[in-house]
Amino acid sequence: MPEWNNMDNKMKAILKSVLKPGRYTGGEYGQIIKDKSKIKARFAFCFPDTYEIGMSNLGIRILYGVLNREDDIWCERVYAPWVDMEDKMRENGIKLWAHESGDPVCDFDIVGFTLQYELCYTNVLNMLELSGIPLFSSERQENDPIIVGGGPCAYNAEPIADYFDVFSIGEGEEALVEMTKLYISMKESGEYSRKEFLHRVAMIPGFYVPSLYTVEYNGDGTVRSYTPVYDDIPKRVVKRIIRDMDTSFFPSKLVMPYIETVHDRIVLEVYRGCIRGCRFCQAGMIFRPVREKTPEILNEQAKCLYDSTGFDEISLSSLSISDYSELTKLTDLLLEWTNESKVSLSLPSLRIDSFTKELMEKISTVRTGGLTFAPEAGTQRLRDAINKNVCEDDLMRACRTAFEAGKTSVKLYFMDGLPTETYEDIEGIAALAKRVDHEFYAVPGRVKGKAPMITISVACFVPKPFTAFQWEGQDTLEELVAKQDHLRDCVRGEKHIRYNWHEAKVSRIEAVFARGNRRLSKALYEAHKLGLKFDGWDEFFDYDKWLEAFRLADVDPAFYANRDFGLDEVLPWDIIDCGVTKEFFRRERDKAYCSETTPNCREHCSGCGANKLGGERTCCPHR
Amino acid sequence: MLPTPIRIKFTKLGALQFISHLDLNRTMKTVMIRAKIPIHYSEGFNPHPKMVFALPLSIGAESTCELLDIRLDREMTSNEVISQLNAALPPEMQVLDAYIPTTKFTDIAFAEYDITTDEPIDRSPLAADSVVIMKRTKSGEKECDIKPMIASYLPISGGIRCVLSATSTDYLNPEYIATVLGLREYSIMRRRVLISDGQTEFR
Repeated sequence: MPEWNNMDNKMKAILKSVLKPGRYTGGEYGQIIKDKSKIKARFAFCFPDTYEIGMSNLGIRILYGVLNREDDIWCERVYAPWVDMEDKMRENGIKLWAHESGDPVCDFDIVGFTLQYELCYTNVLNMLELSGIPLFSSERQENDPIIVGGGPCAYNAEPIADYFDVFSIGEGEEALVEMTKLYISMKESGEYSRKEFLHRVAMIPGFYVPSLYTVEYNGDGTVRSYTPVYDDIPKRVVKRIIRDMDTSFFPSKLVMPYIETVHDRIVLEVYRGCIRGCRFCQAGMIFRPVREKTPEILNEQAKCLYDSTGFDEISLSSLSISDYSELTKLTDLLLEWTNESKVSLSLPSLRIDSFTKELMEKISTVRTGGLTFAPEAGTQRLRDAINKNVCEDDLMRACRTAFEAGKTSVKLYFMDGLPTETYEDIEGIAALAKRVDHEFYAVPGRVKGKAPMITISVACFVPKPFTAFQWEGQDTLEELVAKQDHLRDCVRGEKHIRYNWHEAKVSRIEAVFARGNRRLSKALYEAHKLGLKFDGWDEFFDYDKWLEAFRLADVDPAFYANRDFGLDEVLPWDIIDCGVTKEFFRRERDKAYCSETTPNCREHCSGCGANKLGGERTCCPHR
Repeated sequence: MLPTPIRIKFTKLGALQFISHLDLNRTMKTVMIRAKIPIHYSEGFNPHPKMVFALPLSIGAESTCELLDIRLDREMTSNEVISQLNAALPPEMQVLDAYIPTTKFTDIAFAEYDITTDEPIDRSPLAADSVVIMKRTKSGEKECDIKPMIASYLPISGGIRCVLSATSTDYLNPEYIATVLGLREYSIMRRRVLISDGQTEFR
């Protein structure tokens, strides 16, 4: 936003008329303002969802800091306007602007989108349109910004490949700066043209320029091949990682939102990667290898952020926090000063088998809040098939500990529609919940006079690229709904069990795009034209319109969501090398069908291949 | 030693007029920490900093006279409080004064506002014997005569300056004056809070 005094009255009146105007005004403490005349490249970092969600995102906090550390780069933030603001913008011909300067996004040199989930794709298109930037990469002119995407969805960006000029694959801290520096040097030397720039970017490790790879298809609609159009760009794009997390940039300041956001707290990134190998989990694979930070450095970073932000909560963040090899040391260091400063520690999630009384006493949100465990499946057979590596006894022990400490409610996360699942596994979810209920009454030290509440929350399995289950078709919508109904019948009349389930239609659209190829870009375009946006929000998700979009684009959603992909098929995401090999996924898939587990990385290296990427403080053997 | 009470007078300008009272409360909590103000916390299981704001400002109004009472666990000079807070605050929200209060917020009787606009102003509706508006209440809309709550008004360049009731039982939101005047685009600035004589600034 421009400063208030320079804003025209029309904009002032609009701000007074929309919901939560604090989303749009900017001016937060900690925002970075630079002198435009000294800037050589302006970077608009877009989050394709609301301000409240975007402001909580750790990745943006890091990349905003790392780009702005460069004197000649100015990175600003952009969020998707809520629908009431969008209406006012369209009505008054106001283009999407960047938060810090208020300048239109179309005037920037580079526009980046973070792609956290597939359901944000329509918002990306909508934001490009609101910016007045041509939607398709092929339609952009010399003066249009370079559109770059990154984040988890960039690992299979094919469904949105036509809308982006380039994707940053893997961790972007170093890569985005390199790309922006290249842009600056080519502009300065006069060598810059869109075409030449994209060619040169494609030569930087970790950058995928989709227009420089020709895709051919087989008669049945599957991919036949990817062919680079130049000889000097890689045949497969290897993801980037930060080698040393200790020396890697971590923000010492944050932009402080005035309005309440999803996570108003310090997020301390403890390590990257995951030693577990859950076969449905994409994050556990694409962020490998494990790279830990040392506790002393984390403690310093936490203190520094506490001083500069004033947030009174520190969340220890990683995929599976209890697997951090120095968790005790870290929490001890933090507790030396956090208690006194009335700062609370929180953990995003805990593995069942790591939940102990000691940990519970240290972590205030665990102490005071509800407890959530994720057994993921209802029977041991299926838990083994997905390689969850926890057993029923682990869960009962964890629940007993919680009940002894005075808890009366627990929340259990599950998935339905998992590969190899039968109705017996569904019934197992109900049985497990009932056993937890019984366990409560078996604990002598439980809270008396209060009934337990066991919430079971069941999500639909979505097959994701770069997982052992990447080839598996998702259950049809009818199957998913039938399983949900069956589970509801199984817990009917149970007063202590609350049952939540995810909308299967949403998961289906997610599955279509997760495993999609470039032919989906037309469907996305039709969806955008039909007015779809904010698909992750219940009030806007419209399944029938999605089916209409697929029909208009002549795309069969089942081909992507429900089909078992051939094991020898060229997968749309084969163009990307995430470090973990296809052979490893194949082995893991075979083991799943035998309900055979794989030990975690610390117990035994299973040769996933990610160690070829290197990295410090990992548990990987050197290659 | 008992915690020292401190009253802080600060501005809330520009885009910060859109920060709700609840959000202001949360913001101030982080501001106190990063400014290293030894603010007194409540006792108990879930301690929180004790902060009392004088008159919650409605969204869409700016102010140069917001008041906040806190207590300090360690003595600080007025200048220390002001400079430490201002370094931790954005330019739109700056501390103008900090002092040991000798009055209570309940002594506040009126607030003075400037309502400015580019539109022509016809003040005659305010001169009528009664000024009836539709007031939103919990049980729907109801008619309300706000005339008794308008202590005074006078023209200023590009607008009107008015003194309105601002007690906990009779608080008149200045937005209603803008509505009565039929304004569409306007700015509201709270300039001063006053004691019962309607003239002397509350301190």
